[in-house]
Amino acid sequence: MVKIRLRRMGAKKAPFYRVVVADSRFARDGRFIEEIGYYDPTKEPSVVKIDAEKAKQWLDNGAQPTDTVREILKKAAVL
Amino acid sequence: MAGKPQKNLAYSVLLDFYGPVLTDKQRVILTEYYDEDLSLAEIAENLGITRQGVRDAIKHGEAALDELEQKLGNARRHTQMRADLDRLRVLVTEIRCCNSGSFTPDPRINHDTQEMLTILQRLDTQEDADGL
Repeated sequence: MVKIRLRRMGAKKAPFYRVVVADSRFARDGRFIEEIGYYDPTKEPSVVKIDAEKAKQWLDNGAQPTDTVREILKKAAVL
Repeated sequence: MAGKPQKNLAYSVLLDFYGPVLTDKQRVILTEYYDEDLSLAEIAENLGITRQGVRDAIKHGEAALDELEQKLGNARRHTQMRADLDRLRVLVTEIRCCNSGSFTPDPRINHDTQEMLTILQRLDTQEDADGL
């Protein structure tokens, strides 16, 4: 299954997340298919940047967002 | 609509501060759950344990992180310190700009504020490096 999930980047104590499309079979080794945006919760208010076109395309093709990503996509008005 | 409880990404930061105090298993599971955004089922499969086992480890790990933060407050202090340092940097930069924009810029103000910025930079780096 293809999933859309967050992946934490950034320094210690300063989290920053990429929103990535990844095959759930490789949940462990960090491989991902495509990066479609990012989420920065350290800013006030938090910053969400999503490539809406790519996101919609992946969702239409059956990619499953995690609950966390679903919330973020809603925030970015993609869902 | 009740909705499922969301992952609270704040635990990801607490993990930076107190991760080394947790058990190896708790740390690995919480890292996969929060930093890799894996589901309970995916973590269970990765580690060859039950979904319930993963859930328990997360609950216990979160409780431990909450208790540590409540007692030690490192994350809270870090956030406050970071905000104060940022504000100080803005203020010092304002003074520098005021000075350099005036008809008679004072070289001492220029020199001293430059040193302040250097110290702020150092404090910033230390704030990042400090931890358990």
